[in-house]
Amino acid sequence: MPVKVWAAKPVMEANAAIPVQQLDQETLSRLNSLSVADAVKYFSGVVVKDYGGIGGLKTVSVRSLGANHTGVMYDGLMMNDAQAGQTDLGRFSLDNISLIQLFNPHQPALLQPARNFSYGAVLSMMSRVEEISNDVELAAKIRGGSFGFFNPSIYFAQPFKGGLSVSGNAEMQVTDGDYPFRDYETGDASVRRINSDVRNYRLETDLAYQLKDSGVLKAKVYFYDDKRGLPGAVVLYNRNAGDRLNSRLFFTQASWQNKIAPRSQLKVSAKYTADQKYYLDPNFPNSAGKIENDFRQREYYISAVYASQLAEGLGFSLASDYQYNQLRRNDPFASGFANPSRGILMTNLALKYERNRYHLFGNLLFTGTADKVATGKAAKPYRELTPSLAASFRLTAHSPLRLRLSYKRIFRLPTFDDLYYTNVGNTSLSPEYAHCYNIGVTGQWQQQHYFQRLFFTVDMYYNQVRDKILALPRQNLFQWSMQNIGLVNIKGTDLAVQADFGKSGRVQTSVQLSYSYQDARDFSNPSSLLYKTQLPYTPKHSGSVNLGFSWKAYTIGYNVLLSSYRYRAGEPNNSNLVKEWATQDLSVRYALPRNKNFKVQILAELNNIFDQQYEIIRYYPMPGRNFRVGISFSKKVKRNHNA
Amino acid sequence: MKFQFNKLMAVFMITGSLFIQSCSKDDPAPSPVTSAAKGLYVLSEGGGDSKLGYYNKTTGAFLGDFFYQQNGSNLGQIGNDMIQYGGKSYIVMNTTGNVTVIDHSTGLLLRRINFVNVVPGRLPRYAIAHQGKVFVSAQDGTVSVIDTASLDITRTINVGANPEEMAISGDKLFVTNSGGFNFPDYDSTLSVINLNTLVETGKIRVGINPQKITADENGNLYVVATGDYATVPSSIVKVNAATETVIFRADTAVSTIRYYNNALFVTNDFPYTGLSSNVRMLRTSDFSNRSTSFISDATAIATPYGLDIDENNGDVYITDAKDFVVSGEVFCFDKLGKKRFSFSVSPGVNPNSVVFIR
Repeated sequence: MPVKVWAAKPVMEANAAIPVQQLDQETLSRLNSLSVADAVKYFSGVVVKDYGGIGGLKTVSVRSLGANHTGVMYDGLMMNDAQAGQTDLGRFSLDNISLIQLFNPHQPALLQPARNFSYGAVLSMMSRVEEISNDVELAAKIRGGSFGFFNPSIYFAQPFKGGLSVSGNAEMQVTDGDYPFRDYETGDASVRRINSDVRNYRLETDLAYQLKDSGVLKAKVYFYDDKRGLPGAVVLYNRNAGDRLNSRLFFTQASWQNKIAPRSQLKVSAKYTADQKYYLDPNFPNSAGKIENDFRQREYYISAVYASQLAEGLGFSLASDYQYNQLRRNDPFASGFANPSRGILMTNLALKYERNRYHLFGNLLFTGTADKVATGKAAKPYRELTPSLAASFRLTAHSPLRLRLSYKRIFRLPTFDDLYYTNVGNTSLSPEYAHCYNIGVTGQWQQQHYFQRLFFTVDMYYNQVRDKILALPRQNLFQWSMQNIGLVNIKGTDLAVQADFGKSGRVQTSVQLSYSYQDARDFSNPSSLLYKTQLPYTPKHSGSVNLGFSWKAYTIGYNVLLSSYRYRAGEPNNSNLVKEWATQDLSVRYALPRNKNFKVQILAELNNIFDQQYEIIRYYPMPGRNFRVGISFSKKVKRNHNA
Repeated sequence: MKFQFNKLMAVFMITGSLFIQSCSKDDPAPSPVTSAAKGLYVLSEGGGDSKLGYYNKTTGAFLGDFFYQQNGSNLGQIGNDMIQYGGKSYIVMNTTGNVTVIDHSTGLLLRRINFVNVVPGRLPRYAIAHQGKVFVSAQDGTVSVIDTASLDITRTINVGANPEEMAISGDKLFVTNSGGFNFPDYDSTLSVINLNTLVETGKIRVGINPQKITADENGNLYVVATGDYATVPSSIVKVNAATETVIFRADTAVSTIRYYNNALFVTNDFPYTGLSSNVRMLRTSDFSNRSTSFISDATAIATPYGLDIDENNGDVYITDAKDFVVSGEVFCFDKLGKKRFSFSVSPGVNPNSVVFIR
């Protein structure tokens, strides 16, 4: 029997005062998704900007706040890109992920760093190591598929006596990515994407040490190396594409937590991140005949949080974080780049009350920054105090229904790109603020009629983004400048239903449905044609369906994604129209009859079954019908030792 | 269980298709209209797709996607310039990389002259016509010569870095070499091409980042040296075409310049930097204002972008790019600066050229 050493307790979605959606390992394995970005398309309230294929940029905006307001967390600590402020979720393979959660706005937990409270939404990814067992485990998986896709991975976990355990994971992804699409002018279906190859590998090592005194020490080292072509937008009558992007990400993080008194806990964390992005346009019409951008980022981060139980059901925590970011540009075209650095101090007070029918969670976050630049003018220091409050209560003592309410005021700092990008950046920018209100009802039923479990959540929200940072043309189309001029009002509804039925030994069925309505309008400029128009690329309606069936050794997944039409620019006319789309995927897994400590699984996935030609971003066609097949092996060796 | 599954599937399929129907919008089908009567073509370069629109001067009707209606085909991306020569019009498609030639009176496609057969592509930018030839500047540092009878490129001449607008004076073609892609090391010259031999005979130093140029009938050129947008200001430079020497210069912020009837019509468009965006008339001698605002009525233009003058009657057409992401507008003024008419070029974004159908 595997023992979870420090398993992150999945939040019971239906009880949470703060809206949370999640995809566990079993659901993820049925989703035909390669990356975290593919998987989060199944969450409601989420708009993924997907530029197509494995190599295409994929960023996530939650409830139309913009990608910069979504924090991405890996094993409890935030990932951060101080340069662009948003993370390409296409780079996170699902191979080593056991749980994805989306919190609106943050995880309602006390023992967390201050930075985890600084976003409008937090996307949390948990690696497999969070559910490590006491067994020695060795696993290997190999997948192949359309467009030259090849994807081997290995995983091992080795527990030692005395509470130490080490695990490692390595994965490689290779694809030509040259999928066919229907030519925009001729309708010719044999045209292919070009310069869309990807080659990346990822190495992850984890160390966990269960200390004698009930403390836990965890450490992780992560390395990712990626080389890809950028096929770019389809340009009519012009098939030239040659841009390249090479990136590297290294981070190492460690945390130690322990009970320091009967009702008090302390958690200390540290993280170092090094990130390199090298971009090459080999066809740039300058005298060098090319342009290069070589951006290097470093981040040093430390955090300490103290949490204490004041009375039954009542606890508080105080967290303090310091982070230091620097960005350097190291290429011959860097002319006058500011090479900025920034220190940020964040302190957070959080309060949690959970008793009887009532749940309450609130926090107050202080943020202070100081920027420095090598050349030019540095941004002014920012000082902000931002609160949040969430409450939920069960309607009656035994009601399956809960009502929840929450409010959060957030802001996002201007990124290094906003402030210092050559000719575009504006160092007098103010932060961008948002007010987020949510009201929702959740319901949960266990083992009634033929349902094993049924739950639903309905949330209605209102967000207002003020002083939104937007690029504006300054003199002509080639001279843009960042300005705090946006005002966006967002009204939306998120709906999610999950039902599991069927008895063990017979067909077991799991159904997940999600639906989102988003009315996200631009109120920036009453004299503009964009006034009160829907934000670009934001569908009013979107939804998903996931069906899972398991019967004997077979597991079948059937997944549908739907999106209504939207406009690429705000002005609603046919020239800006990007059409509605729906895709359907099917996956089948078969477990070979082996003993339970040696498992072999064969998997087959058919994506976009009906070969729907669609695009999420105009002129970035998405792949049509394609397949993947694979086989996985997993061997466990029982260890009996009394740690 | 199987029954239940089928029922479930049926529900999803039905709700799914209803969903799709209720959330869909359809494109209009192309339907050619009769030949363009007296009116205007407006080229909008687009945020993404370029549009050729047609304005009927008699009825006041505007067809926003005339090229598609006539040809069932799209122009492509970033149409930078359009000129008429003889019975044909030439549309310079920058990103798409061709010169699209249409029959001037019907709008029917005659040929797409390919500028991407040279890897990585020439990025054509502006066109000017002279004695059976159309000259096309391209950002790869060339000027290509199109024979207007055969519609073939007969010659490609190397000039300076990233050439922009061109002007003709006497038997010389003058090409602005901006060097804009070499930022911050801009070019600062005009290339001089002999129109008889089609050879670059020399370069004239005018000031950094020259982009716009216009010629008068007295052998003078007026060149806008745009500066570096930071420390070096924008200036106008007067060049004697015969002697190839600079004879006058003055600092003034200008983005488009046209010579007409002994005056220079210029736009400056600084809508977000506090400078009012306006259209001025300048003296050709010292570039001082003949009028601080050419527009003499209350008409407000957000972002003057293109400026074309009807040489038959002196009407001035100014295109408004607004905030560069929404449908633009075209304004027609009489020679006294009073608005005669205006129209939206929806769905055209960033209109830059007006061409007359007489």
